[in-house]
Amino acid sequence: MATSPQRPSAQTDAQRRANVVTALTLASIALVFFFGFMVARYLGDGETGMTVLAIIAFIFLGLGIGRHLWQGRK
Amino acid sequence: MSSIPHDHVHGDGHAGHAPHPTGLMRWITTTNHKDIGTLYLLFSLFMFFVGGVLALTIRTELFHPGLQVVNPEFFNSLTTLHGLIMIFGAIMPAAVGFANWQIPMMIGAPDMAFARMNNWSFWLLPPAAIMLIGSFFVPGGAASGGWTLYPPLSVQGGMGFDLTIFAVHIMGASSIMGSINIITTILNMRAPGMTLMKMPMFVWTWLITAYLLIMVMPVLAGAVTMLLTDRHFGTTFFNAAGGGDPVLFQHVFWFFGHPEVYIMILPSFGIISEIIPAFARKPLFGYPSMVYAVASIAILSCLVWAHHMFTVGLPAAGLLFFMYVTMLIAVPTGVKVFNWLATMWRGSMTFETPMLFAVGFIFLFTIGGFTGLVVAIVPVDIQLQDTYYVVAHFHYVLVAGSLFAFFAGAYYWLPKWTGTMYDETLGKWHFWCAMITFNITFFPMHFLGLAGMPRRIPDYAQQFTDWNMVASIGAFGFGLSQLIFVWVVMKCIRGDGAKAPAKPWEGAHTLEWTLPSPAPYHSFETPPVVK
Repeated sequence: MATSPQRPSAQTDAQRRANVVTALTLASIALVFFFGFMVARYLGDGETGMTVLAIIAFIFLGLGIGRHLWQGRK
Repeated sequence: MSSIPHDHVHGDGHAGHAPHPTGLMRWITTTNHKDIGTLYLLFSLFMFFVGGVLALTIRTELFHPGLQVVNPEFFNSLTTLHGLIMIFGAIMPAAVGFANWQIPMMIGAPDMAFARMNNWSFWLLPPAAIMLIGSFFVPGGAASGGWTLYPPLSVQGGMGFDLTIFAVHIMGASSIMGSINIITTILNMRAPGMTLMKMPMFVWTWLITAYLLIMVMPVLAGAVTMLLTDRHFGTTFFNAAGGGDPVLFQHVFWFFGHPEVYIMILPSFGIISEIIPAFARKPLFGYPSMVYAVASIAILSCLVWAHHMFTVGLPAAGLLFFMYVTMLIAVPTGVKVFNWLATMWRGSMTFETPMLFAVGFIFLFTIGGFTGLVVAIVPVDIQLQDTYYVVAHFHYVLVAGSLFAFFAGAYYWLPKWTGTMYDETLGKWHFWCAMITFNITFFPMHFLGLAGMPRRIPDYAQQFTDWNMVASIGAFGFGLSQLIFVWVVMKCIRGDGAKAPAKPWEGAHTLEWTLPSPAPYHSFETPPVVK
């Protein structure tokens, strides 16, 4: 039996690209929380873990703001 | 719900579509948000009854002191699986079902952003459910350490724990995929003109819930992965004998567990925020403050996890911090309750079944909120920790909170989903039976807890008998009253009732009501323009 994608054709390529970028960003947050916690336990105590997570949070923030500013210039 | 036709009443994009599979293959291969929403809702209804049967077995055992029906080990499995099934199998999938059905229609999108991933998100759930329920039949029985899976019990238990850990992994993956899909859909696929601050409150609450899920679900997955390596690969993360720390698991678990409460309740807030304006025939009072309140609740929910652990020996500064921050959550929650009441104030109100459930939600959720403030106070919590007072508190929040809101939402949107008006008389019977029996079941648990009855025990002292009998009778009444809901839904699916107009509720103004009823299989392929 043919499996229909049943996908609305309304999505443009640009929109699909934007969706993938958003999804990858969100997935990376999930991965950081999943592995970051376990790696932090191997690295040392709770303070090390908090520091690692805080640094990663700042990197996300920096990337987010940077991307926003870059798109604004274009 | 299954009566949704495959026609394309709204929009015009069906020319490029391949023929739809029919029968079982339609449901297995579907990538349509309405089909997947229906699957989620039916799955959650089934799991609600499975979890309900476990609850009724618990209440049968507790009807009388002494051991009558089950042995203590099995009783522990019942309480554990009841919690896990209701949270991961019933409430969360129901919320995602509402999101799947409503979010694309409410923001004017043709479907979810990742339609195939949406299909996967759902079809991961049945195997997880089979693992959870099937764990009753493996050697050693199902997990029995409580839904919190605390070590050392979870490290020492039998194969049932492994199945539970895998089930949690799978359901977590499903939730994360669903959340990514929901956030992407909301951020990138809104109709032209629909700015964030023009979105319906239900969409707002789900946006924030999805962010919470992405943040805390991986933490739970990490914690249970470490549990798994402790069990089978020689690590000692949580094993004190090897230098690990069992309390660490509690910290990590509740970093997930407390936001999880709000993951279950925020979509309910969204549903209530749609229904009250519709039946009060007034716009939602203080929309921006509602948005900020939801965001505040979400942020604060990540800072209060240790209020579940006041008795583990936290430093005084920690106790004070977590007590005050917990109390602080009452402020945005109070804003929401105030705004709902202000919306109703001098409104032209009518009390159809969705509105009855919405008002019932506010009344009962507020009771649950107040008892939450009581146990937020450290010296009080030290007395009430692990008593039936806590059981009463979280059932007022989660049953009367989430569940009543989902019933309200189901009655509100059933005409749109099925094209048939539900039976109002049966709906009202359902509400009143559920409302009365819910209180008969759970209100006496406050008295039992205050009198010192501990939770998670199959036997109890003689002086607790009377209120336990009352609670057990109420529980069976509550369970039976849900059959009315099944009857109502079946009638709507069969088309047994008046035909629903496109907009059956005079005061409803969101985009889904511009579509015909039942909503066409593909909607908004040409996005509407929102002014």
